[in-house]
Amino acid sequence: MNNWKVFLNGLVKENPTFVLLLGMCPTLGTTSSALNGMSMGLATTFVLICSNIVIALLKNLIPDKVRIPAYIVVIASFVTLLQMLMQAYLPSLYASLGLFIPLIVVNCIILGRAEAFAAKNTAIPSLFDGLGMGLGFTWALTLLGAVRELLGTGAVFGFTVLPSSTNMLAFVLAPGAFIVLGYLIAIVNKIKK
Amino acid sequence: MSPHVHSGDSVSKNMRWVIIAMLPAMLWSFYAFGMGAVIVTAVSVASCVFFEWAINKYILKNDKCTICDLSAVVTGILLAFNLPSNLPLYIIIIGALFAIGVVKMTFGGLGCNLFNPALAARVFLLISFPVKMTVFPEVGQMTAYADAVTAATPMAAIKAQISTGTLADVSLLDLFLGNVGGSLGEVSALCLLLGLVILLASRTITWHIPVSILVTVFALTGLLHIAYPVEVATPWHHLFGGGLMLGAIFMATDYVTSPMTPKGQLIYGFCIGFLTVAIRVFGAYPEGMSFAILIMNAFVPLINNACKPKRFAKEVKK
Amino acid sequence: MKKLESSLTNMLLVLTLVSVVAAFLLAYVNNVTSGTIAKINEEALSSGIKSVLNIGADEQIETNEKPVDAFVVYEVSRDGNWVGTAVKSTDKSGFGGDIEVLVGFDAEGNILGYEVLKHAETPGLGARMGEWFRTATSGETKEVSAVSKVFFGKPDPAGSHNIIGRNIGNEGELKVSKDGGDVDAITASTITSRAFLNAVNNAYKVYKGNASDVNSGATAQN
Repeated sequence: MNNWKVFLNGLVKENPTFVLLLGMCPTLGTTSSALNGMSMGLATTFVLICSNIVIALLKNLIPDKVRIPAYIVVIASFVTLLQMLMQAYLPSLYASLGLFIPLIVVNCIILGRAEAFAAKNTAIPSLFDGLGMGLGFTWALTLLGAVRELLGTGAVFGFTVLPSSTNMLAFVLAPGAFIVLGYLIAIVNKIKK
Repeated sequence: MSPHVHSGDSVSKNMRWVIIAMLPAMLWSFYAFGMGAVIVTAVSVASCVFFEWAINKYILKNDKCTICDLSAVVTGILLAFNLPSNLPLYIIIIGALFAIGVVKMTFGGLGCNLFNPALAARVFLLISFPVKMTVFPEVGQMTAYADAVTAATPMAAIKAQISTGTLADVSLLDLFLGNVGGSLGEVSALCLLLGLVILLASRTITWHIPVSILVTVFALTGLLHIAYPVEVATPWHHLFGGGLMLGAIFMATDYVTSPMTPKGQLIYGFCIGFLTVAIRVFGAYPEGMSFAILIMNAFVPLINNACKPKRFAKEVKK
Repeated sequence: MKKLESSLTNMLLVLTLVSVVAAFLLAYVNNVTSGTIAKINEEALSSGIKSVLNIGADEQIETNEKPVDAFVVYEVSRDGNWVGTAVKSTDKSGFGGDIEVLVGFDAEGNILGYEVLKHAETPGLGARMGEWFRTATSGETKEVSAVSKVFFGKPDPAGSHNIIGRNIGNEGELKVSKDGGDVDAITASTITSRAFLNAVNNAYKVYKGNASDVNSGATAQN
């Protein structure tokens, strides 16, 4: 499989949100607006690329029986790193996403890709897998956030499109996340057929 | 449809009886809230029927006439029963789309839906438009629609007893007859009880669900009222006030979303009553009926599984 | 390269090594960013204090910080003259947890401004408190056409929920209208509104307990 195919695989064919249904907690929790969804996606992409590369490089050094704790240490380090960098250089983003950043550690996409891909491949394909999966996660979260923001607050990326009397608050709240996600998965399945 | 595939009665015959049973409460709402009630009911029924027809024809590409079984009409009337009589048209149409499109057709149409469509739509609207869904016009404004004067409902006044510690002045007779603010169909306990008699006499439903809910609520609020006479209103107020009667008689008894065996129905009814009292007395909302029914809707498959009728034939060994 | 065997020594060695490297990396990044993070937090607090006391963002102020129980009192002076006091107050009874507000008072105890520092209230409902309690809508009603009224509904009724300029000492504690007060709660978010007003009331009490000190301190500097 060449790198381009690996990249497209994560972006579309095995999209982590719409096809693999991985990482549902941040998917449902952070997508109350398009910007939040996109930021969460990009943060996850950063961690995913770094952890994929490092794990692909270290895979022969890590004995099988301790691979899970070793992977978790690697992933958690990158997440903490990201958290500190974001807090220092992107404080406003940190204010809205801060609560969810530590949750990236337990996002099953990252450990899942480490196990399923990085542990079996070399560094370069692992980078493309991380990039593809990460961006696949990002566009899915952005789309979900945009739909919820539009229906719930009448805006997309903060630009008001609909009058406030048509805002349906339920879409900003948890039930809206489940409903919109369900319909998006249905639409993606329909298109893929 | 699901429980009636093998029985003699047809879906549309049952639906016709349900509509007839709803007539007293509907006519009372026209009498009490005037033009607003007529507009809300008409828009709700028309949009429910339209969405059912449109989704069936253009999205599911099904030739069967699903609006002919009248279930969309019933959903429309029930949805209207759960709305205030000054609700803007836009919100009613959203509610109808949610009831038919999301709750019913997404799951495969009548017989396959997990939740009561009208009730799920009401809760969706309540969360989405918390302001417009919680102000109710006063009784007797025959020609006012959007400009109707609103007032606190008896249930809100009863809820306030907990924080203010003073008894609300709510006349029990007004509550029973329906001379109070509230959503279209819930105000008159008398008309709803008349509906119950029609449903029972026509054998459309059995007594288990409504009676078990009403008895549970009456008993629990009775006990709480004895323990906390000021904070908790009398069991009579809880029985006749708010959406309890409407829920117990028309919502919880929906065939598709309620248990099939009498034993299951009694468990289901008791749990709904218990949850309603818990939300009314301890929760943030003055009303708990719709949440209670929806929560128990989710448990129906489990209850059905636990209360399977015993088979008398011996198990065949393979 | 062959994969390392899962022997006890190997496992111990690798795990220790991975952890040590990770620890050093994090310690380094922490070292680099901690200064910036502290500065950002300080700036956020100082801009919050300036905003609740109506002081321009680029003006120089001196802040004297003083913790009182769970509250923090910031006495603010400009060129040695006391200009106002901001109190950080937390209420635990919010709908989604703690609500932390910064309230600014002038010498008479009038509320100059407020800023919500931390909260976890519902977006679109309770989260509106950041704007709600400083916007005056009393008396102004938008006129809409009859068609729009039937289709989209009447605009929200006018009410009084502006607490800027209120004086808790003279007028009594701020309460939502449902509890017999005169501040309109955020629509459909009475619990949040109660918690918010409670935090403001407490801030005033703390401010009052320190008011004499604050004033004398300022006079001494003159």
